[in-house]
Amino acid sequence: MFYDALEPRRSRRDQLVIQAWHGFPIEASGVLRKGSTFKENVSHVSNVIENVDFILSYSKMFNLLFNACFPSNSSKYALTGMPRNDFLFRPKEEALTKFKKLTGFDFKDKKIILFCPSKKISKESVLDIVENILKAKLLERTNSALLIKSDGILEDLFSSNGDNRISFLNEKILRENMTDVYECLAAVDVLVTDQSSMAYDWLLTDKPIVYYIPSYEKIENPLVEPLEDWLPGEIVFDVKGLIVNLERFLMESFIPDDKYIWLKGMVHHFQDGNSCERVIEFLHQYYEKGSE
Amino acid sequence: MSKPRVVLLISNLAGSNTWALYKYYLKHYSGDLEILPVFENELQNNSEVVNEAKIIVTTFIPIKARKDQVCIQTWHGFPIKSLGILDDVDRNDVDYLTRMIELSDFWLSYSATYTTIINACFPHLVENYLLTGMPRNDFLFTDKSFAVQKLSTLIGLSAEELMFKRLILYCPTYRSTLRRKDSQISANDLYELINSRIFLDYLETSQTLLVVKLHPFEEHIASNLERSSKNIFLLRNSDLLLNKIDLYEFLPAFDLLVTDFSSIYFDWLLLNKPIVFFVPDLYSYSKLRDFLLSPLDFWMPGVKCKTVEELIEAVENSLRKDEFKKDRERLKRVVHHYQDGLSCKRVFSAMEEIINANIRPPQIHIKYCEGLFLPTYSERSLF
Repeated sequence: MFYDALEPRRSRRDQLVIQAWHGFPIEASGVLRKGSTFKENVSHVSNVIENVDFILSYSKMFNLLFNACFPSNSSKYALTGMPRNDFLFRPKEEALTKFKKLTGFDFKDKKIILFCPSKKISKESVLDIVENILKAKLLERTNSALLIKSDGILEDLFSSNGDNRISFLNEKILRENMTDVYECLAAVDVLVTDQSSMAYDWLLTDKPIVYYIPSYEKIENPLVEPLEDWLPGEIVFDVKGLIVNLERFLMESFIPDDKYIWLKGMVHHFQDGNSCERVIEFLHQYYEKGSE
Repeated sequence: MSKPRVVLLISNLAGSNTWALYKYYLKHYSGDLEILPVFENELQNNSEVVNEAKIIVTTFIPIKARKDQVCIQTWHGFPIKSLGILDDVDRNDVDYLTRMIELSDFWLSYSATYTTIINACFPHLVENYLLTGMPRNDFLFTDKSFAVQKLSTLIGLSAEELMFKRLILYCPTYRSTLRRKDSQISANDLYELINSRIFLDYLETSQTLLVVKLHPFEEHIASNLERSSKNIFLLRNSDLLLNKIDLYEFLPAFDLLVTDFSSIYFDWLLLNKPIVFFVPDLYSYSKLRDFLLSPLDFWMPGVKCKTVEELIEAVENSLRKDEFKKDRERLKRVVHHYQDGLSCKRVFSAMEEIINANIRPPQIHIKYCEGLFLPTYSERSLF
């Protein structure tokens, strides 16, 4: 049984439960979450710890961060890299084809900005960002397209816009097409996000990231400090900074800076597209050992 | 009414957080706590003193004479080596882990980064941590001339003589104990390497005094070693105890630190001076002990050298060009939330808050249960 969410369950004692988790953690959870003294959290944390046989790991740093929140011993970590990150190494053409299928747009001749806001950024803020990008004519000037991963509400706001440089992806479209958003990432030129986990995965692409957060307080209870050293990419706090940096990244060639390089090394032990293969190999070895 | 008693347990004077608290108490504290230092080797003769304490502050294994006492763990450094439940040797020592986890009510912390790393090894709840900085690091904010004076007392050279010398401190971590063997080479081997003719000649021509301080676990080796050159001084724990001076009190006297995987270098970052890593056994150490942190180039900001020739070159380059300054500054930000020399003050404030019940340990504890450490709810009354 593979899980990528919070509470793994076992329906039979002899099942093997593997936690793949859902990203490189930067905010505290489990026993390090503030307010963890609440009784309900105790059983939740215990379930995450007790019901897992192995945890897929990015790197030693992942082991530390995860173990600080959900304590286990070192033998539970399987250093394989994350399966979803294999998609980042797929050919760009393949990802463009997926985009076309999902959105109906052909972005072949354009640079693509993917904007993945988390729930911490309000709908109004997202709307404000998009309107400012349009007002600044950034997409025309840089021959780019803006793809927004949203929860389905924003589309209505833009339905009458008719702009063929803006498109949307939401969970419903992805599910209907049995496609994960990571399958499209190889076609993206610049990522804009405030979600740490996607930004950390994105480091594997050696492409630019604009990390948009209105303030550091939005990162509650961080596991490391200072945040300016640990958040990947160019950190911007307002729409103006976002547009300036997007233009720079779209017009100039990108050379990863020191922070980008060391964060990539810290987060990703493996920097290839073979994580799924390693997970399968891990399972083979586990069952071979068991049958001996 | 008697003042609430705090016992400071002191293991050694090789970077003791509890000694630093005691010195602060003598010089600056005017509050309502009664502070009593107890050296760990004299613990048995002081059982009454410990029994009547409300708070016990430790640097290693936590102890309690009564259940209603509060134990504050200051630990003895920012870790790079595998430790606790993430270490294969510690993991099998359930008694040790249980004591470390169940008896420490509060841990002093350098930063959010440190809290996370320690918690991955010795799990607690976030409420168990006190972000104060480390008491011993307050010594690093003292004036260099004052530190040279202290060093002069210890090694028998005048402060004037020392001022004209290049001063280098060599602090290797331990290589083996009764419980574990972390490397294929020994502390003796390391000592022999720095006593090689080429290195002794280098010390002479560069007018350098090398002070060697072995890890307290390998102090027994130090007692068998002879002083081989006027340019090398082997500092023993007994020298520190006799003079009642902690190693950290004279760290600002040195121009450069040579070390390996010892936590001293994380503290040294506060001095903004170069570090050289002398690690002839980097490979075997990583196999036998392993590191919590990776990549080492980020976490060890200095030249890593394996031979004495490389060591000489690295020392020269580091003192001339200091190419790792930026890397050290970055790591300093990651390790040290406070960079101000006021950690003792924050710890005393926290202890007063604990006594006044404004800060309490959480009612959830991490408990050992069938091979796992799990959060468990239990009420506990204090004092």
